[in-house]
Amino acid sequence: MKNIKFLIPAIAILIIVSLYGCNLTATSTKMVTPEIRVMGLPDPSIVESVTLKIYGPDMDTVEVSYSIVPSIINMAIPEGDDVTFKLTVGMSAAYTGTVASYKGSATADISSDGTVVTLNMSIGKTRIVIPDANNNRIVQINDMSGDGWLAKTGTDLGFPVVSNFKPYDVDFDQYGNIYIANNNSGIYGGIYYLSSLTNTMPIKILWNLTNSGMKAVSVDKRNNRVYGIYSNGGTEYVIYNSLLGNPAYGSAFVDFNDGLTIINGITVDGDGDVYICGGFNSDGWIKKYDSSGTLIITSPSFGTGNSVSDITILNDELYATIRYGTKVEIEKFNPDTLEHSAVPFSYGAYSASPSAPGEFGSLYNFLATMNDKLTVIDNLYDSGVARLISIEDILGTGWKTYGTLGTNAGQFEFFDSGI
Amino acid sequence: MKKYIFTVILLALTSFLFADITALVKDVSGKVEIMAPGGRWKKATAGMKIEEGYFISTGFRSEAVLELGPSQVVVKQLTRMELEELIEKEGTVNTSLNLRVGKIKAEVRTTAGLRQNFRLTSPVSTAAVRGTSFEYDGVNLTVTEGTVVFTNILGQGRSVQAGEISKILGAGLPQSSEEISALLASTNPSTLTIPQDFDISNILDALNNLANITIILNWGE
Repeated sequence: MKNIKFLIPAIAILIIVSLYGCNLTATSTKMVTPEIRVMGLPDPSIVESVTLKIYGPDMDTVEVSYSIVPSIINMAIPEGDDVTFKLTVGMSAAYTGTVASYKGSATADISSDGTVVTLNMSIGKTRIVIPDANNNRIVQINDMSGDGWLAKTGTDLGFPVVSNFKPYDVDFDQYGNIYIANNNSGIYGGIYYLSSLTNTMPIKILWNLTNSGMKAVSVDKRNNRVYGIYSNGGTEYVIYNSLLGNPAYGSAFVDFNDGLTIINGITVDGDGDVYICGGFNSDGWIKKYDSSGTLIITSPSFGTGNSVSDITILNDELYATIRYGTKVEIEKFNPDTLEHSAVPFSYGAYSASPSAPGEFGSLYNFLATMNDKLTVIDNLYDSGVARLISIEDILGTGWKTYGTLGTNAGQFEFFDSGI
Repeated sequence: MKKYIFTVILLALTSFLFADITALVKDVSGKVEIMAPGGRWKKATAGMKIEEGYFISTGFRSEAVLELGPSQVVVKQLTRMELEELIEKEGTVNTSLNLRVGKIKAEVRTTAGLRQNFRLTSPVSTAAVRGTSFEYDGVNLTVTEGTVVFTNILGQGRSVQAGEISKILGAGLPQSSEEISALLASTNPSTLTIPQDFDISNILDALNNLANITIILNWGE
């Protein structure tokens, strides 16, 4: 009975240790190996449409719809060479996962009965997932209409304090899982894995030993690798790890004492080559590396004082957001040469109170949506601008905006100053 | 004596419950042959009587017209078919034809006081018929009048109405007219809508140029 005064603190310590042993904590010595959510036949309840298109040089497009997601389709089609099959599975608007649609495509010669065509299904389009940094939350919307608004703050996700969660950047893997760069400067800084916003307790999968906040993330879908960018002591670092890496401290990717003094963004193409952008140097804005970290090419210098905010790959073209003073625009580059594409290679201009298509406040990150569009954060905090802009190409086709500055639904507070 | 009378009554009653329906070769053109169970193939001629277990075979550009009770079956060229059953039982005419290969066109007619149970089977499908007119080759079914219940070898099926065509692919479900018409749109958009007086043989010709394929969806599981 005398020992009960030791027993109570011991139980309390056990409870604290148990709580700190959760996935959110970097101080736990026991590593948590995440189980990456992979593909699977979608539940019929979350599917809205299933459409198969068949076309070829000798036939018009045939379109067949199905009421359920099939695993095997038996059918008869006209004989012919180079017949293309494209299947699209659209998710219902009420579905809260990150995937908006799945797709599968194959081409085959059809000359006799019994041909078997295999469609390897993958993500067609995703929802738009937005790092709303100063609101300490991550937001998902179905499209630029804002439908399907779903927001999770730091505490919603399981962080002890809402400010522990300061998401700066987001990317997807090939299965639609979310990777979040948390710029919290304490132990919660790092890259987190979250299968969808309907889940909590994101798993920390990449960080550095100094607990610096991560400001950008990119997933290499070819090599199943995640990259993160952080600053420490005035130096910028790029580290990486496998998606299921253990330990998650990561490995240094390249030495950045060779030109880019500030690293703003990172993206990975379908071959696993890595593009890194930065500014305030006279050597170049964008560098391209292979997955081993060997420099492939550096872009031509665009002049001291310019800065590339972020870069992304869309339809095998490299796009960059340029933000320096009153020069605010989106530019398009050849990913092989890192030189500007053919004219027109730029779109948009600065405006102190942007409203018309092509007017930007200050361009920041591209959002990692997989939907055949460029979706970018336009943030001019002092002018009350905090919105998303979506365009389809460098001509600004399909210009759409969404969001205002604020803390409510339909509002964002991305960054209060440059990053 | 009582026992004898009872037997006579029983025989009469039995003949009432199970009555054979006459099956005749009504017309032939080209090379048409018939084979009785355990017998040999012999040339078919108009007026020949055929019975259960008989096979009928048609050659290239040949055709036979059969009268199976009140119904009529046109056996198209390059067809081999067995008359498995043709009997009237308890007010129902049961007709069962086993189509080994080829194509037939049937007009199933009813007579007063009798129901029709007309079944066509092939290695991959069964067409059960209720007072209708249709064409059938074991895989493809075209209904021009009435309704045909079309099932695959697993017994899964659908009703095919007048003006509709359906197709059985492997063990798959019969495809609807719309699905097949959509496919045919690739060769002739005008076939998307099939009017009642449309020459259905055009569609069948197109169907004959289709290849059966299987599409497998790999979800990475």
